[in-house]
Amino acid sequence: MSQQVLWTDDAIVRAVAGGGVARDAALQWWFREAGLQRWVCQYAVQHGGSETDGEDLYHDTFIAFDRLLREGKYRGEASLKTFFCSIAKWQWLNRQKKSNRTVSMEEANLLETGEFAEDKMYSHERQKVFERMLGALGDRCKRLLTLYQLSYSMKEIAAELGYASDQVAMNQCAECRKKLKKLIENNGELKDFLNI
Amino acid sequence: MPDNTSEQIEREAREALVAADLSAKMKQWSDQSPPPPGNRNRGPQNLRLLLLLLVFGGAAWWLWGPTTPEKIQQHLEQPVQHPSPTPPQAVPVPPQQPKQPPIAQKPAANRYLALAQSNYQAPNFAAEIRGTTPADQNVLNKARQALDDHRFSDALLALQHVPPEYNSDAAYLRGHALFGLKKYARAATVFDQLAGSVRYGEAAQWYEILCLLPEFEQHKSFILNTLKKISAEQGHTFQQEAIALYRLL
Repeated sequence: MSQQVLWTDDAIVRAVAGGGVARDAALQWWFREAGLQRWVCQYAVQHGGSETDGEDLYHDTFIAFDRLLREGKYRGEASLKTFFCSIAKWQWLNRQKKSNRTVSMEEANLLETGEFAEDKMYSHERQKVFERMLGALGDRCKRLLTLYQLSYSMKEIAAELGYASDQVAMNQCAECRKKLKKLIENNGELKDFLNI
Repeated sequence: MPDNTSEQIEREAREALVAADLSAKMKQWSDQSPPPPGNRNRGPQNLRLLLLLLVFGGAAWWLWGPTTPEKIQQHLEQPVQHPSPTPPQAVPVPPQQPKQPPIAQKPAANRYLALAQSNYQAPNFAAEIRGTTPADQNVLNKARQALDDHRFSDALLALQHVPPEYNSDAAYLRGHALFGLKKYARAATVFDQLAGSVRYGEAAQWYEILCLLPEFEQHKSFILNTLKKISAEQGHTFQQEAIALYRLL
């Protein structure tokens, strides 16, 4: 039966890490925490950005937040809100740094503490390069690999995508991964971007 | 390319897929204008509503409120007095005007509810029950049978014991059971969570609209936008239904 879930910090962390419908519900609830959205927008505006920059910052922070939670980077030392806000700050400062804008000493220190690894944060540029490459993968493979990345079991993937068994899902997964590897091997733009 | 790097890039590529999926969901969530109950941002809105109610309530009390002690005293002292042609104080008049709005609103609300119910066609749950399903799907079959028999509460009870790997199937059935029990708002939430599902996504989109329809005014923009989107999507399972419903709205 559908129950009203009390979204404590702990419940959110568990739901996001667990994946599935619960992850969606937790993220949706978090997304609608208008206080946070306002806070992030205000932060961007107070630091020389526009309202649109604020919206972008919220979007980027949200995606990084999801990934960091899934990777177990939240250690529960501060509240989840504080964690979210520090990701937002980090994202913003990093963006300022990249666009060669000056940042204060205090802000520079925050960046250098290395609280978040840069490759775990969201970058529009990197996302676009990957998305251009992933376009050739096909919708079904994209969906399958998304679920795979979200730690769905083969049984769940089979149920979600309507495969006859988890063995079929496993074979399809191997096929899609092979396809992805090939795309990576042959993608010059990606190699240039990543300097490899 | 070293194996390590290659694996790392492959993982990054899959993360890019997750990010794209989440971006699409975020867009969908922003389009759904009304925040869910319990959202902290509703505080000021509720406060304003409470203030308004207090002001109107006060005015109504002052105009038509119950008899004051003085009036009671007066009434006891003059038990058989007939109504005076020129009463010294305002005589309580039956508040006819405040009754008007519910009478005016009811047919409109009923219209949308009727539209939701007439457009709702339950899937053939019984057809999905197969004798050869694995044992852990028995619970799903039990729920399907209950839905087919219109025993919606039984279906919900059965769905409490579904193994986590069948979460999507269970959620889909739960949405229908809640709709059958006329718990439209809850059913809408369940279908909304399935909107990204490959297997149930299209159906969930359509049924969510039907669930929100009884509260049309509240969800107007989301309903109309989603119907427009479905109508424009060639091959969408509910394209024709969406076109027909959009016309009616």
